[in-house]
Amino acid sequence: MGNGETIKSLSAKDLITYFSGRMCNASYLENGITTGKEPCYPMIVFMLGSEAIKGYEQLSQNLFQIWPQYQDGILFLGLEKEGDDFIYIRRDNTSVVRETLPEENVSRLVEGLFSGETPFASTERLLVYYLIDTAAFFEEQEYDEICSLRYKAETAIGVVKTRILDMQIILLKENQGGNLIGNYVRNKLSEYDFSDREHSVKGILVLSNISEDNKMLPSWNVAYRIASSVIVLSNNSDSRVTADLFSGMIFTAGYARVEKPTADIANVIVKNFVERFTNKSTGQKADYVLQDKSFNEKIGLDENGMLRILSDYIAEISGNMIPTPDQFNYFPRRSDDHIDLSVLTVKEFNEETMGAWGCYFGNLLGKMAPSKETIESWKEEYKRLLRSGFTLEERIALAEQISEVEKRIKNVKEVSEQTGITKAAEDSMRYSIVNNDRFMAVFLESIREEGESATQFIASWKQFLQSRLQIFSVRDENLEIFYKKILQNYLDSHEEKVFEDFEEVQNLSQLKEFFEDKLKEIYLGNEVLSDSFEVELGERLKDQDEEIDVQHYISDKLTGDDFHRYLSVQFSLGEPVLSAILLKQEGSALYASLKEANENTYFYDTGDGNLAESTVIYRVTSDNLI
Amino acid sequence: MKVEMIPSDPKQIAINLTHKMGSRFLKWDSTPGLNAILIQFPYGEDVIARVPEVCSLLEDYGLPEGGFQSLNEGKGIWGRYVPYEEYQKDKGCELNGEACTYLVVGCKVDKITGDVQIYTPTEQAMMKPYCSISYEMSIQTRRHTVMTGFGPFKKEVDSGFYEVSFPSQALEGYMDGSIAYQLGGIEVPITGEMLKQKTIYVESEDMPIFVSNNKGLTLK
Repeated sequence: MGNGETIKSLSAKDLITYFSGRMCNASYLENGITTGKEPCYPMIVFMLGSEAIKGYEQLSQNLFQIWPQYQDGILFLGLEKEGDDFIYIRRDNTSVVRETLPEENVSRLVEGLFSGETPFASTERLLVYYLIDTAAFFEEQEYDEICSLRYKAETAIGVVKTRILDMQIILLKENQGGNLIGNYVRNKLSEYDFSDREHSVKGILVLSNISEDNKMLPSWNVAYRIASSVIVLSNNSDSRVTADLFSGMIFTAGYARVEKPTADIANVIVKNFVERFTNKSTGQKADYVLQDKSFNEKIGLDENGMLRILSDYIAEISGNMIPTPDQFNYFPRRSDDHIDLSVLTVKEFNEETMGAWGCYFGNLLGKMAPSKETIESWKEEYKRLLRSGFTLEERIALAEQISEVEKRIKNVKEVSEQTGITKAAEDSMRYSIVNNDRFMAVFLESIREEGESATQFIASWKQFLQSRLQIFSVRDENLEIFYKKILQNYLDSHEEKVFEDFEEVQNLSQLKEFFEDKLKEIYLGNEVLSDSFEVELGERLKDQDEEIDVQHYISDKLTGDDFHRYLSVQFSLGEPVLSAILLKQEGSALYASLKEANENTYFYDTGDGNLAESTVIYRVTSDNLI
Repeated sequence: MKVEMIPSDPKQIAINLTHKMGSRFLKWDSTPGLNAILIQFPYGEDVIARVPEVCSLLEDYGLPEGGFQSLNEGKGIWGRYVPYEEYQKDKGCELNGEACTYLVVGCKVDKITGDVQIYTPTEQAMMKPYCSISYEMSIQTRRHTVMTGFGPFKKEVDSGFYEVSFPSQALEGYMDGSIAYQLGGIEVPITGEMLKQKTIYVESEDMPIFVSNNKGLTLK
């Protein structure tokens, strides 16, 4: 397992994001790249005011989900009440870049849209959308101030108005009690004069946070979805649709969508997968570790009670430096007596050779001194040994009982002076080395460091396990049962290996890698996770009820209880100007079925197999606004 | 007793340590009244860099007065305290041994606590606080014979040993292993005790080859 980049934290949410990201990419990667219809004309989105500017990420994400190849081809510009400059916002790989743009440079950017770099089907028109968000308004006149920013934008564009098709998209925050600002905007809109070609736009989309059936939106997410659907429908090579949406009227929209519940699927799989590890690495005390019968072997001692790494080193380095019995006899003596020096004790030898052995041995130890590189390699090797022999809890216990461990790894007897010189040589070497900090410090340091990193990891691990409790439960019982089964199938065949691999994890980076690997395995082993939303839904519903008609189910969702209109009006909204369903058409049984059942519905091919949206446009007359 | 280094003081200088070849005396220039410590190191060492190490050794061993004392168990560092009164007599003191490098440092000793403060030694152009003394040694190696037999049958036979003779005058401050001999694939160090012994015997058919491990000690 690789070490990976260092990460500071990991939560179950991170894994859910990872897994749902994988599933979202399926339509572009694993299912082959398919794209649907493309925008017909060059376009700009102006976000007027700081609140509208906040909508960039949501709006652009929605648009690029349908038009992924136009990330550089659509211009997003922000304009705030204060200051003269525009804000040019775009995506750079995965991050959002914001640049200040002087007014005089806006037209240059706009010219670039017509340069041919991004191949729009037609450059006869420029489509301009002005986004206004009233959520942060405190006073009515803020609406007028924001609207007036539009004139600044128009001037900056540098394109004659006759070539422009422009639309104002108003996100209208209304209160259920006193609704001063909402009412003010409604009154203003009711007086809007589309015939004033010079100062008016060609269409206004109004979306309220309170639906016709009095439901309050918790956020503007649905409104951004609708706005992006309308933008997509309006920038269309089907000129009839474009003409309808830029025909000088105020309109609102009804909306519903059915999408692949990637977040919920990821939630069920990740949460239940992580649940299987709750009894691992609990951080329980492992003080028994020194009493373990196999302790000596695990801590790396050889049959002589010396660290094997060191005894191997001694054998390698000192090999021919320890004198043979013949060589001992080459040592000097006080007299010409024929004594076999090799059979003397250490004391006798030193005495007869006038201290030569003590000096020789001292020099030998000096030559044995390990280099910095050698010590580093011992450290790596020893840490690997500790990790393979001891659990995280045991490594913590070793560090906590370091003094005892030190005694055990330095348990080499001192050589008595009565020992024979030939045996004493090697034994003295061992004894001197285990009592030399230069050799031993690195091993004790390794034990301490492994204990510390095990402690840190267990703390991070506990935090990670805790993080799964912060995830909301999925309300869809059918979904939960289905994906728990998927997970169980995976574990039935992989459980042993999964837990084996888990034991190798040493730090947070490896933990992330471990979980991502296993989630990837689950993903790759189950086609349903990369299927389009309708196939996935079909599999899941049929698992519960074989008789269910999935197309009918989805059709109901798009037109039934989940469908809401996002503006409350005095009278009925009447017949829609446009009924549209946006979905992936290629190879879609759903599309075929919906098309057959809905003759008057306009179908837009998004190329995105993850969702289907129903967007219905209604004209709003002046008397209906007030 | 604490021993610590303090910054050099231009008014408290011990410098220009010199040795005349053949003499057994070391001389240096000193600020009047300044006590000194003379330290002997293995030949050619960066002695000034090792002064902090010597401070720790002096703390363990105490300030050696009246003569040189080994500060690291025969591993080549010796020290001697030279109070100004002693220095004054001959502007120096007797050295310990040769084939080494000496360093002189000025110091002050607290009369009450006994704590020692050593001035950081400095070099001034041609005048240095250290000097290296080399030494030539002659070692005689010959085949050793013994007389065997009686009366008219007495004859001289090879004993199976080489006899090695060292110079008669002692080499004080000799560091064990500065000289060694190579024989049979190993290098055997010569200890100070062997030099004092004057004659040693090596049992071998091949002659031991002597080498010097000290740049200041030449074998002739």
